[in-house]
Amino acid sequence: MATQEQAAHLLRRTGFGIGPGQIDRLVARDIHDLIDERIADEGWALSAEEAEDRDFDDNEWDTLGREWIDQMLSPETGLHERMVWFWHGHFTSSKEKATDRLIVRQHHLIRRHCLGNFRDFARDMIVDGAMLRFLDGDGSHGDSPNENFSREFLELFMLGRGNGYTEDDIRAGARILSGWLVDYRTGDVSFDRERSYTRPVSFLGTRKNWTIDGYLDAVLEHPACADHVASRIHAHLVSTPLDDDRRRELGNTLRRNDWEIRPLLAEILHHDDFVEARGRRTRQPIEWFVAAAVAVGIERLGDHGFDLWQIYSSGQIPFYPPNVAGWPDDDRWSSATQVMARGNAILNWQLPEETLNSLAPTRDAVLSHLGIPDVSETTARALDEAIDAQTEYSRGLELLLVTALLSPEFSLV
Amino acid sequence: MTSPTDNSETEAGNESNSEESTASFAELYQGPKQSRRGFLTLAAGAGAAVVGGAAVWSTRSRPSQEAVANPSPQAEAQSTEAAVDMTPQRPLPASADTANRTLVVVELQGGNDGLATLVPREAGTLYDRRESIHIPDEELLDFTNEFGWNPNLAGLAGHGIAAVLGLGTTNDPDGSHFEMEKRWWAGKSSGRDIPFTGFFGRLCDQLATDQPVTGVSLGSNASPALRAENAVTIGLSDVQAGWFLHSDDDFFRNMQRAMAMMASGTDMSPGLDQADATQRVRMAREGLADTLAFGDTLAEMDEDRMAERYPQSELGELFGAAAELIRQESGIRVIHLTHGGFDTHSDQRGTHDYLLTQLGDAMGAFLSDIDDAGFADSTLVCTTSEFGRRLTENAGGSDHGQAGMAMLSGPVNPGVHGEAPSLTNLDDGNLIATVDFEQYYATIAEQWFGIPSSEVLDSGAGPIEGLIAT
Repeated sequence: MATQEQAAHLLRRTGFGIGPGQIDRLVARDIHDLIDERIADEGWALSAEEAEDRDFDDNEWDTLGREWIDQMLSPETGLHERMVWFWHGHFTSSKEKATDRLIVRQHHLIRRHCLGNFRDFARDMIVDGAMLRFLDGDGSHGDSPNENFSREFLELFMLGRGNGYTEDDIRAGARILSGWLVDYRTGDVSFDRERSYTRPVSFLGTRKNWTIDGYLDAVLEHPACADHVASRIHAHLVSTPLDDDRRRELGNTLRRNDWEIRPLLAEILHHDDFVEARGRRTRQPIEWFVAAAVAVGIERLGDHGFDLWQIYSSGQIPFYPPNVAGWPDDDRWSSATQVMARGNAILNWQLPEETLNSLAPTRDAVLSHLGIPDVSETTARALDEAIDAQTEYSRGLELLLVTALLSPEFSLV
Repeated sequence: MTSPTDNSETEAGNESNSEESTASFAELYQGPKQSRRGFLTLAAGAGAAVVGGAAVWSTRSRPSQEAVANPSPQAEAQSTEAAVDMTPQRPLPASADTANRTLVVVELQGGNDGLATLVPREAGTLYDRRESIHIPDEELLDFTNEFGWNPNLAGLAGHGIAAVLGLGTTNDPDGSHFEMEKRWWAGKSSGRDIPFTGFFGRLCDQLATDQPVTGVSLGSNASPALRAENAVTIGLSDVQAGWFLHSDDDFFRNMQRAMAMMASGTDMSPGLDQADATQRVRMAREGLADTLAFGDTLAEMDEDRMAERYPQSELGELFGAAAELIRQESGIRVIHLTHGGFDTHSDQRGTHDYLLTQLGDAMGAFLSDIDDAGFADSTLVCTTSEFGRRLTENAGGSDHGQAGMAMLSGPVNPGVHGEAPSLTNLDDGNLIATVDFEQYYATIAEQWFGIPSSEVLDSGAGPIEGLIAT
């Protein structure tokens, strides 16, 4: 039987926020059934053809970022959307080096694969237009190949830094991956045999003529690969330290299931360490804003004073990762810069009528509503004293909400 | 947050962003174009008492986008005033104690045209290549035999200015704002292995003490240049952005008290006593405490003095706030200001002259203010810009180039430093950098703050000798 805390934890970690009444619908059901339901989440994705046909109105300001935040805000948001966010930080690319046209294709590539098969996912990502642009694969010539993608693919995406590969492997990988071009205007990706490297090279201990599929298989078969990828997913969803045995176990799950992602997620989420991880991860800015907006009852960006610039002022901008490693995932996201940005943003919001009419202006009601019923005594007392001192009764609920949203407890999941 | 009953004014001011055209990363990072409107309307809508906190500054005029594109007659009139002395004066030696020193960085965002800032005299090439944007010798403010300042920098007269010429990356230069900003912010001139931290953030990591905040970026939210590993650095889109931390309104005072209490706690939620959970809560409480401490600093700002001593411009406001932060000796060691709009592809004379007028007037006011307050020997002002502009003009504007220049004032040796880039030996039409910006950064680290270059720069680049006056 899922407790309130377990239900809230599941919603926070496998989605973004907790909407009105969501916990009530989950408590008293079997927690493992709930986890399986989360894993079965299908989510929304455009097909490759649909993504290619996306039209852009050049005058629209960050349409893609808005569209994505709206997806996160949706009451149906679950593990699919959470994994889209995870993979954007893993197989990351930036809009500054890739056009909107390329980024929308990559975004939906992520949407299509994020709960699917990792091998297929990585295969498509190697020749994705946005990735080719972002890590300089575009135009890389076999005679003097660009090593950027080859290096990051092994170091960040697949194996982990220094995990059983050499600088020579990076150079060889760059040759194997050369010859690809991105048409800047149409975004179409093509292969030019003339520009590729056609002679045998030594990569991860084997000398032969390589294809992209052969290259990917060699990387996937590398003993470090499954463990690295699985531990990255574990770090995002669970965030507590992983010992070597467990790391191998997770890697084996991925390998045993022919790189299907869902069985790995089941292995991660059904394990005790997932439930025990409560309160030990700091919400990243986008996660915080989405959770806060959902809690307040805002369902769309642009409604009730919630807008994209508020997220931007936190320094975390979708499709603009700080570097190829994506965003760091640590306790820096509860710093003063964040508190300033958050305070400014939520004081600009207007409380939706439904929330005002349905939520009692009491400490316990507000804390339960935000999914943090069991706060520290200090936080509980701070809220009590604030509401006691508030003479303008009509603004009591706002005061409680604003204060509780800025509490240490709400900054953690 | 407001209730539906009192949101009319807030909503009216909350215009949609959809009117904005596709913006560069740097512009997106600034967001405050919208946020400022929000804060002001909120202040107006949120109750009478808030006005004391925020509206005072809002009464001062700010330049509109149109004003930038069409400089005011005053700006032009000023530029024709003659006989302003900008020649190098006696250097002001820096304070002996590096622990008191503060750095103010002004990022001239968009790529400042070095050739139109400190202009080579009698350079026939410039007349030929820049027919409509070149500033004739007779208009220049005297500096050295070889160079004269853009006349719109007259506001800096009487303050010793040092120029570093030929500044850029000597390591595979790139023409993209994004790429070059990233390198400058990170302090990585090669652009390879860009860390999450920014160069000025790493300086703050070295400079941090038990004071709550070490670095502040104004006018750019949280500038990536100030991202630190451990030090607290705060980004403010606007100097009013912390208004809710020192508003006297009942609502906000209750909120501030609750934040203070939450920050002070040491206890945990029931059932959460693991070490890592405790550490996360502790960091979140520190974030609250730092915010409130900084709010106190913001509350101490003397707005009347700022309004009196500084020009009515956004940059004037930022420089005024910087001076206040320095006067309070609140432990803030690095202040980063953003002055945007230097991407002068068209109408360069109009736009660039206007931006330099704002820079000269605001920075001049700051240097006088800081001097009067007794902080002249412990305050260094320096500029950065992601690149210079191309030598040959393009129909009244200039395209992205490579080598640019920087200006410094405070305890510096006035005059020209570095080496002027060749006007004939070019890289694809671009000036070739003679000084790597990591050397420039190394100078600031080592000679201003006494921090070994190797602590903050992977390359361990050496400083430019003779720039800082000791």
